[in-house]
Amino acid sequence: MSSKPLIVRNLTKSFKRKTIIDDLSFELDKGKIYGFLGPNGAGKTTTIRMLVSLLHADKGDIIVNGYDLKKDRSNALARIGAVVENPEMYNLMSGMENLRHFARMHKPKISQERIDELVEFVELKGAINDKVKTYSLGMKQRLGIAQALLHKPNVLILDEPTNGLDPKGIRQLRAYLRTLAKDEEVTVLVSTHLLSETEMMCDEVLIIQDGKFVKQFSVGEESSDKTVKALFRATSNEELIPVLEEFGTVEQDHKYIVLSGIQQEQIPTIIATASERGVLLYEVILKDTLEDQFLELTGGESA
Amino acid sequence: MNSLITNELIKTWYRNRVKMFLIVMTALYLIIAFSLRFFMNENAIPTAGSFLITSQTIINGTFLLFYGVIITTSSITSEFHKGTIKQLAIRPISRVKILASKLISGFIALLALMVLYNIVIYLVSVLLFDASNAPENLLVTALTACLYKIPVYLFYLALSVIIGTLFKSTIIAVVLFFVIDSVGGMVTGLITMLEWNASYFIYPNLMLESYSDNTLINDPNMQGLFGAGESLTFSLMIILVYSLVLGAIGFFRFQRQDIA
Repeated sequence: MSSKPLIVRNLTKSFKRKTIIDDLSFELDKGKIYGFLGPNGAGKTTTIRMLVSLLHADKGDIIVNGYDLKKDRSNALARIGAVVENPEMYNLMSGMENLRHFARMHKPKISQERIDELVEFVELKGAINDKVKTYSLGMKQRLGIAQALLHKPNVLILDEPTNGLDPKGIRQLRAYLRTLAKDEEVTVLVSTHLLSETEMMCDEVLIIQDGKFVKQFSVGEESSDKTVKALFRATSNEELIPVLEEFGTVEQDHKYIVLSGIQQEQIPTIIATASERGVLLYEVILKDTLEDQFLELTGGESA
Repeated sequence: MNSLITNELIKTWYRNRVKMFLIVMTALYLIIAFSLRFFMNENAIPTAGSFLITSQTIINGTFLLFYGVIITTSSITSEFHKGTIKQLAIRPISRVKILASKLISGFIALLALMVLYNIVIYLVSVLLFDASNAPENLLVTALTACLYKIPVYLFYLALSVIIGTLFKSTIIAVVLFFVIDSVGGMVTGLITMLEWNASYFIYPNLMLESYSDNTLINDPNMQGLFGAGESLTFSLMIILVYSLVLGAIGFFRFQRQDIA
């Protein structure tokens, strides 16, 4: 048995002679949250659909906890939980009926206690007996997560889970995923186009473009040796500009002064220097470094 | 497999509004039966036998069959339309089993409705109408007429599976149902007129009643109208072969397709 919960090797898929996924390989570790990023049309959704056997790969292997998806489909799928795109449910049935329905599709039998536990976990207890058609999008997302976790999968795959969630919902989702990764050692793969979200939610980032692997790196690590951008707001922005110009390139925003091309470690020095010269700072915001890295890696197209 | 069939039956109950169907069908049937019995000219009131067989022809042969086709097709198509098919196909269960559970539960639902309605039909016929001069035992007649319909149901449900998986459209299934049901006789006639052998065409073989020696089920006045097939065994074989071929194509397609 392999220790890696998910291994993807030389995955290739074409539609009508157009190659969508081109020799894609990556590996995921236990108990980590991965952000799956790529510009539109990079093949994120296609990859995810192949991981859960909705699409058949032309070439390559997908190995889930040591089980080959092609040769040992049910053993491999028994270890994956997923919400692919929108969490489609049976609208005429209640949340509980939906969960029971999906629970019946797994072996060994999933107990009612497990279902209740998940309902509690995703905070749907009050509405679980209402019909799903009365649910808000956020509630449906949470129900989707609950159904994906019924069989205690080792790998949880979420395709754009923050779509249509309000900030509170996103924060909740982040908390759920953290708990899962930490307490149950579930490996989570989240495809998303919200870079700031990814940065807050994920341990590692996996970037693909044109169906090819681009880069995989830890969120915290990489940013320390890269140049970053920071936003400053001071008692007097005019006086601050000459100070900042000593450190990097300065641009004026409508409210902030944007300083780019600096190291993250320089920031305390910058703040100290500014106050020595009598310019006091209200705010310093370290700008979305992942966004910059992402744009750099994918050649400027937005996610 | 049992749990998959349970799932399908539960979804059918909600999706196809079975409760509504039961209420409306039963109410309509009772209203018609009572009107015939109490508002018709005394001499024109049908006998229990003819009322029984007419009811069975209309309800078993059209309404239930039609509803069964809708149940089975929509159990496939609605999953595709609502996107829930993804949630089914990512489970550790083979696609063959998923589709089989839909076919089997469609069949179970149809048989259950048949049993229910034929009890109602039998009771209404015997209790409301004159059964004293019936040429055949009415209970045996009712049961036999039901048995003749079961292979026909099998064929139509296999047809539903292939239409559901190939075209993903309940409408096409419904249209095809009416086409086969109404144009089938004409096509058979045409084939016969051209002096081809119509025995291998499915439609005449669906008229299994013509092999019965029960005078109520096999009305002598209707005989030969549709150019029945060669023998009961022959027709059953034809139905089986058509059903297997249609079903196999449907299953093969469902197994191989990419779900987008």
